[in-house]
Amino acid sequence: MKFELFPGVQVNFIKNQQFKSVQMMISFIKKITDKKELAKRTLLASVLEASSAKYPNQHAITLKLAELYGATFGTTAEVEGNLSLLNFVYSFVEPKYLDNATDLLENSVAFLNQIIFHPKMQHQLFDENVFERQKANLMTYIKGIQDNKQSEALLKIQELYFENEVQKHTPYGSAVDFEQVTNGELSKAYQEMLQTDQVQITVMGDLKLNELKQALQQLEFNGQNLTQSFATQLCYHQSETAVRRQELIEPIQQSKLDLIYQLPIDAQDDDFFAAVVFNALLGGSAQSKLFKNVREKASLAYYAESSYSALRSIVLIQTGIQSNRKQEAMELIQAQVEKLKTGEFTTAELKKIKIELINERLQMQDNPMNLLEQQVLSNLLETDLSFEYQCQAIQKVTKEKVIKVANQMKFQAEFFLKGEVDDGNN
Amino acid sequence: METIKYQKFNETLFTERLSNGLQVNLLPRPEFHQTYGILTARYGSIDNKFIRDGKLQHYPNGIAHFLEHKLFEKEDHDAFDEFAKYGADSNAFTSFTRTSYLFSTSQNIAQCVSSLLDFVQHPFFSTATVEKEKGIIAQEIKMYEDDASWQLLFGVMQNLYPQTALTADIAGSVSSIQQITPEMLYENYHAFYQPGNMSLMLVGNFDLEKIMNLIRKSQAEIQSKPVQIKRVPLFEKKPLPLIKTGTKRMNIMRPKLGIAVRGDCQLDVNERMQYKVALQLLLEMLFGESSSDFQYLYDAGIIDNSFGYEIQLEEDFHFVYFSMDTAKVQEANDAIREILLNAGSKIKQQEKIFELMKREFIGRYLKGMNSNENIADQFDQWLFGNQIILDAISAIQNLSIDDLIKLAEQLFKAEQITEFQILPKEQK
Repeated sequence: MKFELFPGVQVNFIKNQQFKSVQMMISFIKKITDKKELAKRTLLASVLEASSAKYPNQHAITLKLAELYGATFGTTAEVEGNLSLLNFVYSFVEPKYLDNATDLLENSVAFLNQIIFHPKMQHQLFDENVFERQKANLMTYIKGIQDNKQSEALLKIQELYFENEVQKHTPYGSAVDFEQVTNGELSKAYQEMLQTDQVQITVMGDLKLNELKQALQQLEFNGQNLTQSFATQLCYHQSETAVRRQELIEPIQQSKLDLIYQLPIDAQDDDFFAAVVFNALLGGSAQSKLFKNVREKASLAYYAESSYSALRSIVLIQTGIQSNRKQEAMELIQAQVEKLKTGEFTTAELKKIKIELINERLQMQDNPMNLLEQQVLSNLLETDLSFEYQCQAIQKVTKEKVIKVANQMKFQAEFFLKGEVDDGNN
Repeated sequence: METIKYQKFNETLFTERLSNGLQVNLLPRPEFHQTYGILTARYGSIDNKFIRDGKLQHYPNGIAHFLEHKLFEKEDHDAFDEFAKYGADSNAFTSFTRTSYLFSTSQNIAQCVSSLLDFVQHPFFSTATVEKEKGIIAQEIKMYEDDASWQLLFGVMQNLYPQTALTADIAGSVSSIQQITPEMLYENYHAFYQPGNMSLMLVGNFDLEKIMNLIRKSQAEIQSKPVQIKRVPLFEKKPLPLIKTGTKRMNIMRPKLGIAVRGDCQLDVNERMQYKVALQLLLEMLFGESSSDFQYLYDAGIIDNSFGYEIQLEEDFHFVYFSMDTAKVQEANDAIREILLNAGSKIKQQEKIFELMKREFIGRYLKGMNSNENIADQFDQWLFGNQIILDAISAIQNLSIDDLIKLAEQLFKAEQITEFQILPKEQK
């Protein structure tokens, strides 16, 4: 069920009695081209989450949420292909399970309205303390990502492979950019978000439509929110180049070898579901070639997995290995890709992978957030991503289709985080 | 079958103890797509010393975790593949005190239940497969050696429980696992994987009668063999005094601080749920975002979003663990101790916030019911009896602020607090 609340503000309502709570997500969506905007949107999400004029700090927000019977609230800034989504995520318990809880829906929307439209500002700037604190916290958080070696390797290979500055620094933005964002710039980014971003409000739960409509009227939209479709701009593409390689030495126990392959099949492509199946066969499942032959059979890696990003047309392979076995790992990984290119997999394997993918999709319907996110993405791409449709499409993928997809894989980048532990032997 | 109805919340739990001793708990939820099943043995990393036939047996550290890995592999197939054939995910984990095997599926539920019981109840260990596993587990252990958060936890454990099995990594060490043999795995298996030492929980979309009959039938063939074992108590008489502090240097950017409080009181199966909920509420009031101390420390840049705490409550031990990344290690350390040691007087005047927090907790537990995994993972027969997370709601309603003050005064004592730091390596 969809309706337009204001121009550029669309509501998706999913009526559902499965859960003990009502879920809401308000998404502000825009295309970004400047990498500095990544940092701004990430910071904006944090500043708006931490305070408002009426609820000036986390303490006040937490008490308000407690009063709303343990409602949960948070913001996220994510990147989907070329788009940035700034989400206000909220849920509250179905009043029928509580004693004397009335007007929870009204009060919940009133709270969100305060957070979104009435931040703590003076002279058109965010409260300086909140701004500085959130900026400092995010900068330390981003620097701290390096302490998790798997994440560090991922960020490094992303920077190595992508030519587009936004994609290089997805999803948070670089520490340098954070350093430079001023309160004035952030406040301006906030005004633009309110006035011009496209907005999607997604709600799921056991609500009456007219009550929902009435409650949402409280939201103070009054701008020129973008109504135009993003469908043709969402997916990021990059042309093929020579292979890029980089190695970095750190005193760690386990080395990380990451690879990026280009796979020029995006989420709107006819072969999209064949690519999904291909990735699951390669390294997206415990049934996969990488898991079976690199991790299990060769005892070569603690983890070896692949992920396919349809919005960026890549397949990323991540492994954790011993530093002196890199060459062996590299050859074994490439051999697995070759096997799929030449059709060296059985119909029984294909069948098992499909059952697994379908099972995953059935189970996703038990997670309220998955249902909301899938709805938003489906609207943006203007393709059917309903779980029923996905299951049918996966079922239809043939062995020939998988081989066709595999043959479009182009090896593009390799990043090796080499562990050298200083134990006197090196 | 015994029936426990939660009328208001539209849920019913069915429980039965089978004649072979296996405890079965079923929570059907037809509005969901998924069914989650978990089979747990009361056996974990700390159980590597026990008395069998009057003799003390001492096995290598990490044997419970090793056994967990190896149970999936059979003579001619792998249990993972079996589940995959049915479209299910399967997994397992080992903690200090439990080993659990689980599946999650939305298709072929009966087959998955049979497979779960079958693979856990029919072990196969051979020299070849045990040797190969050593390479895989050694990689896993090495990964944990680089994981500063994990190292922080075990630094704290070594201070909290000196000279006990709790100081060893759950997976053991690269050298300890080298000693493991198939015979040792069989000996441990027969000691701890008796049906009477196990519990099965299913939550989700399944046919109650059909599944219960299937379980009864499968278990009729599996009888407990009387292996005479006696667990060695974790502490000889009472726990040794804590080691107060410790430091380790690692290749990290930001210092990490862990602080823990050890509880030494013994709790009964009927008391633990109430105790845990009270402790959660107390910690939320002291360290949650609703507390003014938290707000102050956050605004002063002493703690940030990396700050977190958890309660570990087991049959024979419990503690509260705080962890954080902070550039101001000393200030954070002092501040957290100050809050703990003055907890009673801090919350005394906070009746209004206490009432709000009770509301918050009721909402939180109700939302916890949205996840079948969460319901099953929180369930623990030996710790809480037949209580599920919905039982926490009445426990919350029964709490008074005086209960929390009493708990704070009894638990938070200076001699029961320890800390551990992980600092960046000094620049050469």
